[in-house]
Amino acid sequence: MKQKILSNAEIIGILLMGFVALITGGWSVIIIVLLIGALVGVNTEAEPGAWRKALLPGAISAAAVVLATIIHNHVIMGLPRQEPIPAASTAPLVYIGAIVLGTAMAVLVVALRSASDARVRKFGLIGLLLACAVAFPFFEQYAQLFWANAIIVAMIFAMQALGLNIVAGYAGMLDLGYVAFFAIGGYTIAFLNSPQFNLQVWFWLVIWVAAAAAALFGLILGTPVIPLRGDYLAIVTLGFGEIVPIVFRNLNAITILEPVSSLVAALTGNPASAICLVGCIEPFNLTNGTDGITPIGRPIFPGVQFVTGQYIPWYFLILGLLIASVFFISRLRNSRIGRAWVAIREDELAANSMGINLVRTKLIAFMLGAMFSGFAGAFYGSYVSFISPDAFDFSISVIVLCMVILGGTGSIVGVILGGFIIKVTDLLLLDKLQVVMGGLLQATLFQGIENQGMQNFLESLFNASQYKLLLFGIILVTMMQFRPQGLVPSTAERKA
Amino acid sequence: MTETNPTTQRALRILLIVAIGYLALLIGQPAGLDVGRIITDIVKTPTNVVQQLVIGLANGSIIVIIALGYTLVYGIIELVNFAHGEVFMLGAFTALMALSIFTTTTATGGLTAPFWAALLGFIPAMVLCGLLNAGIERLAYRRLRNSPKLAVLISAIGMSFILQNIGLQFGALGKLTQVGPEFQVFQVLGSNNAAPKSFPVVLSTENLLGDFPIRITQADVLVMGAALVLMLALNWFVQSTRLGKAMRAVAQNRDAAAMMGINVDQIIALTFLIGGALAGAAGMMFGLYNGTVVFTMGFTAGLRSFTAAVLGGIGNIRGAALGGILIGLLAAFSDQYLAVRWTNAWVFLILVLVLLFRPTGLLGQESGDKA
Repeated sequence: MKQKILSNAEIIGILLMGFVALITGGWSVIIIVLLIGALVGVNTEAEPGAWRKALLPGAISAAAVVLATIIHNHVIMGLPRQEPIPAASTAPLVYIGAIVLGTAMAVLVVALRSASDARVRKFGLIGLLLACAVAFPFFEQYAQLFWANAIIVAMIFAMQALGLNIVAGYAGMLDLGYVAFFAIGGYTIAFLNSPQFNLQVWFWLVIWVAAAAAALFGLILGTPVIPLRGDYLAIVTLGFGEIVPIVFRNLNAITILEPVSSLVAALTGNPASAICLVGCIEPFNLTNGTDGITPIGRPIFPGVQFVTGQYIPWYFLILGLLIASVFFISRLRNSRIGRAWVAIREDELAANSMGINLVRTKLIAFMLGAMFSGFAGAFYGSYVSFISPDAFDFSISVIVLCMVILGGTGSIVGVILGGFIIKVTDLLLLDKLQVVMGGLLQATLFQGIENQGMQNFLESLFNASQYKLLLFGIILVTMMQFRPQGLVPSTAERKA
Repeated sequence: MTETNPTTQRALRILLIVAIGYLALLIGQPAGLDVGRIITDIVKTPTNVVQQLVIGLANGSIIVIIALGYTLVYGIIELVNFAHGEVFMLGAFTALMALSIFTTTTATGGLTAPFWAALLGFIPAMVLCGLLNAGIERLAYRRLRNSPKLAVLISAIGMSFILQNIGLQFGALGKLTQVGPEFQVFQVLGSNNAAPKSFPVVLSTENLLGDFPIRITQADVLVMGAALVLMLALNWFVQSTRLGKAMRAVAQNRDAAAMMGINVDQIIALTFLIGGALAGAAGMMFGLYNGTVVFTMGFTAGLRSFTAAVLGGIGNIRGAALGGILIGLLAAFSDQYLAVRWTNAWVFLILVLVLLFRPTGLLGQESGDKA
């Protein structure tokens, strides 16, 4: 049989990355070739001397991405309405350098993976990843990519997805109201560290309070729902997830009367005589309703300013948190409780008869998941400095679920990858696509159409950012049909 | 454990119920549960109670028709068809488009359509939604027949997102009215994709009871009548036809039904077809009764109807009817006496409580094997 130069995964990767390069262009090519190089490297079988095998596919993949970038820089940039790209990024030397860089990445990854020293194998890739992560924000700033905001939000959501992964991936409970804990975390920091009640509690304490509050609600909700069957549990959590934002939306004018006195007052026809307990002079405003709460306190760190628009401190703070979360969860996964979760997911009856306490084990998973979500919610609130109930609707729960499903239920690497793919697409790529499509329409179809109404209609029909829900829906349906284990299956799934 | 005699036990239980009740009245007040005000309101205008009863029954009729779709599908493949609410939403849009063909502009600038157009409009709404629902089953659920239940549920959630997005972009057709008079049909969609769309006025808002303080309009009668006809038709179909018998057989035991020569896949597709057709009819009823439709309405309406199906006992057709009426009444009374903006929270609370404490629902015992 003839050896194929590129595997199927690599071809799909090239097509997707090439498309991304096609709609972004400019300096983004450097990041995209590194990603495709890493993909080729991971995909090549590790054995001594295997790095030579990565040379050709690495170069081809990088060249394909560079070709797409060239099309963007020299053809698409000619269309109307495009955002400018830095002139330095279109130098021929950049293209050649990008191909070399991509190939080098592929070779390096393979070489590290097939190193003879076990320690190099273990820590080499992590070190490489870390180096890229540290270099990213500085490069981003130099290259004027404006990606930092999307990446920071993606990291916050990846943290949330890691939490849902404990609940849905490890313990096998589908939580459709996960956004509720995100909201509780966000509102906790908003109450304790904003002008709403003129409180300025120390930031590093508040985030733990927020996580604890979310975990407490996880316990309160979890206790009754744990014995329920899978789909009923999903619906009950969905109901809870819907109630929480309604509560936050509506608790802006609270007046509480003593019920018995209120009843007596009504029956005697003298409503004013009821005993008032809360909000007597004017109704008590807890959450500020749909207007939300702003500004919310920022992290305090000596020598570093956390302000809107300055992304580098935020980036490193949240990167650090993400790394800590990954470390914590991977340790947890291999601990006694982690093995108990997987045992329950695989066969509840068998796990129970081996002496695993089902309720307690599931409850811990539920609480830990809630805690991660609350933690992420607190950082999200602090980062955007604004919390309102509209930020917590059902679609957030589904988007986080989408991250877990896309990446691979139960797989830490997969879930983080899924989080990045979904959120970067959501916040960045769809907007870029819309700009390109708009320019394309103007340059082609609109030339032949005089009618302004028709132009408006086509514009609205090809508005890429209006198709977010469709995209997430398609991801969920197709993953379930064709690859339920996700892009990066967990090790347990791979063995099976 | 120390022995306690039955009397003390009973007293303790009563005490507990009183305490929970008192606490509910205390913390329920921000959500509108203020007994004093409620009693004052009722005493002031007692006819309002009957009025809310009428409104609740009419809204409940619509919920029943949607809930039947959930219950039929759950009864046969044990799937919470999450996309059902969105099928209902698209049904309302189809109904709107069907009406728009016969829409004319009145002297005052409003849009109006004749009554027979509304009756005729039921047909395309039902046919299209039936086919859509069967198509969804073929596309998103059939391959997963032997997968874990949660996989199908996730696929259903994905499908609901897809349909909601279609509903959103369907509104873009409204922009075509600027192109020329040949697209006048789309004027009912307005110029904003996401904005609520107004139904043309079909029924008179005149009170059928004349000056009587309780209002019953043509819309109330039409909605309740349509619901009754649809329920009787469904009951006849399921109980008295060969296909209905086959449906019941598949619901009871799929393998045994297959061995008896029933084409299971076909029967499941038929169930989705019927459920979708009912959702389409409900879309028309909703549009006629409430006057506006919007692409996000499928989620809330779907969740309310699912609550109704669960409350009555999911998988049970009569249970869906009972649950739908109860949820309709609850929503109407909550709108009037508790607080409109808390109504959804009360309905979802019912959903949570029923699933937690009586997952078989009110009439669930009859179909114990399904629930």
